[in-house]
Amino acid sequence: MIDRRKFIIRCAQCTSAITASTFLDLGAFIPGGAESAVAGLPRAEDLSHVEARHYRKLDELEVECGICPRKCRVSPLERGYCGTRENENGKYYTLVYSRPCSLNIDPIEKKPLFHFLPGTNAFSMATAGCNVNCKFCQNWNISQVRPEQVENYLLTPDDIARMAVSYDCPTIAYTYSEPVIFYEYMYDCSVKGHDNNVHSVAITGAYIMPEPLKELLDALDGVKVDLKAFSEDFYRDYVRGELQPVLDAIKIIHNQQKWLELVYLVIPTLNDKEDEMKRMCNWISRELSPDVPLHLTRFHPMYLMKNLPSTPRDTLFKLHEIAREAGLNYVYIGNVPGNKYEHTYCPQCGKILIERYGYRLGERNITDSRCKFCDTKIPGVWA
Amino acid sequence: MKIRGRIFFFTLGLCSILFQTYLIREFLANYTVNSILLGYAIFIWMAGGTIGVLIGLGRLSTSSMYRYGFNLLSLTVLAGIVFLRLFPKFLGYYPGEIVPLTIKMGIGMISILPSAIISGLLFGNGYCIYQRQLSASKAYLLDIMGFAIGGIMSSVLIFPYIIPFDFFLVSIALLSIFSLLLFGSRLWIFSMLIIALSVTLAAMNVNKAISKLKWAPYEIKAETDSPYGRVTAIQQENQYSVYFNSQKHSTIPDRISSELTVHLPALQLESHDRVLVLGGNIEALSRELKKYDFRKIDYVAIDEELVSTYRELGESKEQDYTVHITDPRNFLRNTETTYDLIILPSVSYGLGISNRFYTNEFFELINKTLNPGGVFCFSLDTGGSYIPQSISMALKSVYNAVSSNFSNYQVIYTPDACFLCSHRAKPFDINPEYYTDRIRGMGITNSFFNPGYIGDILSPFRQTEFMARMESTDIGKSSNTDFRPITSIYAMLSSEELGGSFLSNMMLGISAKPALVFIFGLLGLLLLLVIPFTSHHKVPGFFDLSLITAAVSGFTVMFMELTALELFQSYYGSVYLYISFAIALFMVSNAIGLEIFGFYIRRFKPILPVLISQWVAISLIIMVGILTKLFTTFPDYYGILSIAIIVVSGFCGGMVFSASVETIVMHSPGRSPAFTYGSDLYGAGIAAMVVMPLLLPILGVNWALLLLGVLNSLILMLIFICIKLRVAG
Repeated sequence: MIDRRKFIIRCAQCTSAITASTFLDLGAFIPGGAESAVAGLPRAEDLSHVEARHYRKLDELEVECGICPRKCRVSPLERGYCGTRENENGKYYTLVYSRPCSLNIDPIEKKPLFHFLPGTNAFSMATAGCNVNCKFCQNWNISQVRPEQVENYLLTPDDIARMAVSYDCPTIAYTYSEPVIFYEYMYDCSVKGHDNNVHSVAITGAYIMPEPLKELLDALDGVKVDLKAFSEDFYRDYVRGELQPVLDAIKIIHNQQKWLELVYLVIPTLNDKEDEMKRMCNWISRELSPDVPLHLTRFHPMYLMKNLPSTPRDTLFKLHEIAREAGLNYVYIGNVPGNKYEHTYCPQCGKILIERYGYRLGERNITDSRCKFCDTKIPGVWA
Repeated sequence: MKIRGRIFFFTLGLCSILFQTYLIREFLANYTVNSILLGYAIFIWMAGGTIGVLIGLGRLSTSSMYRYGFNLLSLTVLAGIVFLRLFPKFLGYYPGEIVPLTIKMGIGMISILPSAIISGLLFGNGYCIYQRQLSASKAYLLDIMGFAIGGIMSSVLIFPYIIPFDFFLVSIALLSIFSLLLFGSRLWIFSMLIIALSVTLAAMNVNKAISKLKWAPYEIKAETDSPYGRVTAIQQENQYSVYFNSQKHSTIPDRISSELTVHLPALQLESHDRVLVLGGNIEALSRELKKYDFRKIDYVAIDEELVSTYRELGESKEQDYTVHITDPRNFLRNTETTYDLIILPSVSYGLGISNRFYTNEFFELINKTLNPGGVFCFSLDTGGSYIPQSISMALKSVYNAVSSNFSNYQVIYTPDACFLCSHRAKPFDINPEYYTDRIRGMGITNSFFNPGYIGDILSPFRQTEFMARMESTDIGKSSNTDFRPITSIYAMLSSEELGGSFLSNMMLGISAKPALVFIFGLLGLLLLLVIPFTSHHKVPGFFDLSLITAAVSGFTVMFMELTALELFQSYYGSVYLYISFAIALFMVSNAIGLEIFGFYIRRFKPILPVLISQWVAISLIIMVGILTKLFTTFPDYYGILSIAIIVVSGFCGGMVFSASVETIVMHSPGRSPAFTYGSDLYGAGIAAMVVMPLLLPILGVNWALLLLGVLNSLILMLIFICIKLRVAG
């Protein structure tokens, strides 16, 4: 056997030789990080330290988060599932307040919201983090990371409202990642937005507890909910969430008479069953209203499902037919450029109310929220 | 007996390469092909070989394992293939769902390692049995010869023309008959069972059945194996999805990506005469190109099967374009034609293609083929609404390469990063109004790239954001080159599997020196793992260092071989036959080094050969490192350099191996020399794992080779110290 002493000596010799070799000046191999994205905007050097709302203090400095149905029980110095809320000595803090990482100006139709100020732009923003883990997330680069892993701007709610005004956007959209996880920031931005005559809409999965949702809805003008499937199995396996709390939240949004549109991303062979679609449409008709717009959107493979096929057009048209047969009045097909179900049709006379070419509007036949041809009231926020 | 031993080692080499190639191909065909996985798969095979050699020399040294080994090898390879294809499904992954890197590595380990161990075990056990007839160097030489011939057979005869699974079934049946003939009638039941199994599996068309099971619930429209991988087309309603090595390549019909790819650059041109398309879904792209008055459309693609699939499933049956089946680099280097528009459709970072198509040297080839007023266009993924740090660094390295090759360039953030490059004086106009007016003026009708979407696609806010990001991303003057494919490491860190992970953060956050200390420290520790096995020799000091020398030599040789192949592909293209030729050249050089040096050193004192071989190897490596530095300035000649490195690395490998073996033989005959083979394999495996994904992108070829010279010099010093100690003792 080789003796231990010799072994250690040789290890030391090799290690020192290897270390010595690295002292050569070889330049920067993995260069340093990037700077702020949008020119002229301040960059946040650290995370925020603003006390969170909706949490409960427990024994031994633990807290229970009350924002989403996960009800994370968080020990000191730990974070909730979303990675954006941290317990510091028994107090719960949001780390993303005033720390958006993504800003854009998008047509409101891109959200998609078709009955909410059509033809206008939305000042769109997001912070890092999410309270679910959809395997098909379109924005996984920000939703599935912690806030310190992205570059953040430093923009207060006042700044956001001012920017929306300066870019001529009548709406602020909380979008891309899940706005529920930046609840406090979204709420305050919405309040500041209203002070500046700017609307606010949340683009959300609606995985939120009833109490915070009701409070939030006071500040919002509209909500677009991503209803990801109509089965608990799908939510468990592909979203890491639950369906029932989402359905409850949708009912609350509708009952509080906030503008609501639903999006159903059709993933081939996973949530495209005719029976599932029928059940969902019947639920919408029964529990909400046939007037709630439903967008059936084509799946473009992303993130962990990026090698799945896209949704065939025929599947979308078939599901559209089922939704219409179930009595829904406003059913759209999204992500299929140039299809005839991009337009808004009057459920009474069948004529085109809003003609759409992508994100551009053509003919508009709604006057004072009514069909120009048959005077039927068309639900939505039109002005 | 002597002939039997020779046949044994030759057949072992032949089987090893065929089965190894097939298993690794199968691994890559079922999971995303990137440099990490490729290196890992080779490492598993090499490490398994080492373990096998050690067991074969140790516990099983006197067993009759060598009789049954070939049949066992067949069965483990068969089990490995089935496991590779179906295990993700068994774990609950949906077809097309990304399997996490750790799970992929686990699957690779379970499916490749047993076959590798048996292959190594056969060498060790076989050596113990035949050592009186054959020296270790001879056994190694015969193994290499089998390896080289098997490699050429698989490249020239098997994979381009025969369905690999069918060939595999035939080969395991033949191997059973061979075992029966070589080792006698005691094996006949075992052999007959394997023959019956292969016939049954062929009759049941198990290959198709496994694919069907793998892709269920999707319906397979077509599946073919090409030399470059597996092309699968699945059908749903009237839509086809084409997969290459299980990664989605394109959808038919496709509107959005083909319209963006063609119209963004084509509308910048005043005249449309000749267009060159480098890869992609030609059916969809040609439909868009026909909206202009292009007189000639040339299409270059390397994989004939992929092109045939697109032609078969595409909407248009006219096919009025010329197809050139070759590597785009070769085409660009050899063509005399110049083009008004050159399009390189978007490809996934995950394929590691950024090593080859977004480098300074590639852009130089484009320059040669582009008309003075022409436009070259390519797109890279950005990550969508937010550009992560790793992607912004990857984009910046490509941006730097573009800016040093084109006088006029513009990036459009769509949100893919679409690079428009030219030498024309007129600047690119990327205002939405410009595109809207031109589309209307030319009467072009598009589904997606039309006035309805153009305002959003070309949103000025997004363009400003992107350019600010490019300006502020600091990677110094680093640009993506063939000699330092820096983009590949950023692309790897931003992949779905690693993006946002601990490893990704660590790599992005760490500075240069700690990164190097970490990598080389890890390498050092891995190489030192050889030490415990040196106790076998009972002679401490000199021989353990011989084994370390062998491991470092294996590392060095594989390092140089991979570097050379990378450069070779950059210059000569990834044409399958060329690469096979390069690998065969390596094997031949290896055999020459082994024979010449082996013959020479037997006439000298035992210590001298090790010292001389190491010294020669170091000199060659450093010389090549310096040459590479020189050739960076003259890339027109680096094709020759890559061939030179292949020959040098092969020769060095043979020389050092032979020196180690002969030295050990003189001091400790018996099983010891075969340990050298195990150590050599092990070092090569480590190199396979770290060179392509880490060392080349981080260090670049020049510094990597020079550091390699330093590493070998240190080993030489250690040998000196050890000899001195022994003499003093």
